[in-house]
Amino acid sequence: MSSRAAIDVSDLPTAVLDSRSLVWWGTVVMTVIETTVFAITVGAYFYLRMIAHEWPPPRIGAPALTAATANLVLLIVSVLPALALDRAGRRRDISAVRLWLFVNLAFGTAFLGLRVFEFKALHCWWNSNAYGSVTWTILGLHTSNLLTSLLETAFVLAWFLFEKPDEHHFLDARLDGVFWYFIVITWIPLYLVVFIVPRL
Amino acid sequence: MSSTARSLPVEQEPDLGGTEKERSELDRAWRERSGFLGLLASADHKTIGKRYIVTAFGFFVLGGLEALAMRLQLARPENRFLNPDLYDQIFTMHGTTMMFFFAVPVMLGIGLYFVPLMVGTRNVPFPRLNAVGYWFYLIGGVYLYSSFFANGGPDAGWFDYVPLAGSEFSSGHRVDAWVQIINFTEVSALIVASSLIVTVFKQRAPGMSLNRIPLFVWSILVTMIMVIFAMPAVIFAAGSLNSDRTIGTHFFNAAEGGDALLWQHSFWFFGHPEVYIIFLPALGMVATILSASCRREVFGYTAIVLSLVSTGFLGFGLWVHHMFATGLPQMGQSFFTAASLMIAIPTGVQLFCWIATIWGSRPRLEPHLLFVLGFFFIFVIGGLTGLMLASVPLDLQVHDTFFVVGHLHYVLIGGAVFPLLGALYYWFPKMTGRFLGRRLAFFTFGFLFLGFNLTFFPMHELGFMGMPRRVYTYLPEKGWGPLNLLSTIGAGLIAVAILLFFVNVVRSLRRGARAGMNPWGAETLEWATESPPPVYNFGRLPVVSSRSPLWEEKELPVVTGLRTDRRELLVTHALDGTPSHREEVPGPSALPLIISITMSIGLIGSVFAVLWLPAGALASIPPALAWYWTEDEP
Repeated sequence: MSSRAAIDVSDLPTAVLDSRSLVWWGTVVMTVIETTVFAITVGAYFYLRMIAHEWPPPRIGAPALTAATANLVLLIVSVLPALALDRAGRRRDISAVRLWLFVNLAFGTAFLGLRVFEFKALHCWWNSNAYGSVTWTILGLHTSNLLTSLLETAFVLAWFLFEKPDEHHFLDARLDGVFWYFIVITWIPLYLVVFIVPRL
Repeated sequence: MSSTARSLPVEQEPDLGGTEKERSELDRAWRERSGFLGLLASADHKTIGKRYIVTAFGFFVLGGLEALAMRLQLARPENRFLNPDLYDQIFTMHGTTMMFFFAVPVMLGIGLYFVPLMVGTRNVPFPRLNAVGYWFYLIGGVYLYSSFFANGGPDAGWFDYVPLAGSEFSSGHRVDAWVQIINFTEVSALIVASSLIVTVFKQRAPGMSLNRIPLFVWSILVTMIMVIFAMPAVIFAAGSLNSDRTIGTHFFNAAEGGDALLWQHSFWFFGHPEVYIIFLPALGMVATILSASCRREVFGYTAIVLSLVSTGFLGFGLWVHHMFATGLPQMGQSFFTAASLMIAIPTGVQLFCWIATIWGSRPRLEPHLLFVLGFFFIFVIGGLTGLMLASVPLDLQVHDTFFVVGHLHYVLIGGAVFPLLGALYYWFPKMTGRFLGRRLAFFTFGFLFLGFNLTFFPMHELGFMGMPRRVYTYLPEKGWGPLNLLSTIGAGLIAVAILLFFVNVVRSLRRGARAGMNPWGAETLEWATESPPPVYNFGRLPVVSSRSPLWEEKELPVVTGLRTDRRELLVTHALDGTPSHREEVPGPSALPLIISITMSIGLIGSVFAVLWLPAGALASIPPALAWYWTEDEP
């Protein structure tokens, strides 16, 4: 059983910077996993709320909104630099990628700083009661995604500052922006659950 | 039994070609590192797949020895072979080992080995990440057994119900070991799932549209998607049990607004799909073996694919049938009874398709076919007792008795181990270049089939007689002695079968008859390359225009123009499999091992003090950075 040449692929591109690439697909699978973790945890939140007599438990009160709402606004605004980074990556514009990676890092750090006040705004600790446990867990999970994203941004930025980027680094820069969209998009429902639902 | 008698004549061997120069360039570009350190750096999907399989069988032996110990203890009333404390540890270790360290990983390993070959690509898309998955699995297993041998084996059952598994009733670190190994196995399963999902969607041979994907690949695809949605539930469950035990959260503490049933919901939302994660790959193996044995396409391809997909969906709607005894609302119970009964539909469809495939064909009775026939017999019985358990009144009668133990072993051993052993017999020539001994394989089957039914069938009756599971002994007046003795004798026969299997593997590795490229005359792409395949799998990548490329084509069409001097993959479009672009993948590296170690230190350390967790994460940053820096290395 011999073979015959049927398709010649030598003209096909060796790198693509969009949803056709393997790393893109890998990133999508990862965000699906993370989203499912959030969904299950939110499910647990509502399960505990369903069996509770009072939600939040007596003497804790609904969480304060100032810090969390400020942070939500900050996060929504931060989509703009992520978008700029995404576009700079697609244009393969080294200096713009550097700039927007840096701005993204700054936004992420500011968000992380405000996150401390969000934890405080819950008015309880993780070990106060089940309400505290599940709200701290939701915030904690989102924070761990945030830390991962900051670390990734720092890695890509370091490469763009000290090494010569090739095609797949521009893709990394784009995906860094995409991961940030994920962080923003997941936070909106999580904010509603943690900060608004206790007021309903 | 000569090798030539069962191999195709050389001119009929499927040869994808490639010039001498291309071959030597491919050899250089894809070369794995040599020496002991090279072994630690491997990033080849076949090497890692084989490691999963071999390691899983190592754990299978351990889990099997634990089963034998339990059977010896229960062989007669008031036996003193094991004390109750050790018995608790052993049944927990047995379940944990078999579910998390044997059944799932062995399926992951076979998927990792064969999916890239069957879709016609050179490696998985993230080879280094893939290596991390294996190291996590191995480290998790070593940790579990180190705890066990240090008298710290988990002892609250493999599904660790709270409040028993909470810190109030299980102080010390026994349950902590269970909680942490869950993290290890879930990371490893999620990594394999990500690798294989992207492989199936983006790296299929040109022309392999969705309706030409081999059935085994479909079964693995559905399984991996189930992994993606099931594992997060156990991430949550294990994470919250861990934090309840270590930092004082109250997820399961009713006094502070928590709830014990939350554990059962989140565990079984993972745990029931887990059964299908084990079972679906086995269905794919059955289909593969049937088409090769009957030398015809499996009847009802579309119906089987749709059955696999619908089993995947339904698998997520059944978890509450593990909780019928917890006093849930009757409406909910009826819903989950209906959903559980519904699973019989897609399974029945597949069974009829398989029968139709065999009907009128002249199948060759090789051992792999015999294992499939054994599977039919046992699995149908397991399925029927499953239907019985799905109805609430009967479930309440036999809940927590040996009836359930009998049922679950009929489903898991019949549904997964029989097809698995068949698949290993079938694919062994591809993996090693040698056949497994035929006669020994028949004996393995005979002992296993007899031993299995002798061990587990009496358990149904014991369940009806009221014998509870997880109790270390019983009184003579109960009258459970004779059936238990029978069951123990059966377990001995199973041990003989498994021993014969290992003897066969070891002997065949050294002296088995040589196999050619396609010794069974099968139709799928893994047979279109040498046995064992080179690191890069194919000299030239195949192009397909049907579901059975090796049967339909006179001359195999191939891809040209892919670079041979670097590790290049051909990426294709997800739906129709037309070529999209080429992509280079990273090669072997020791960094996956290093980062697995630093992260494991964090995870295992956190059992003793929480601060180890951030410490492990911090220690993982330098290797992660080095990883990112070296991804482009040739």
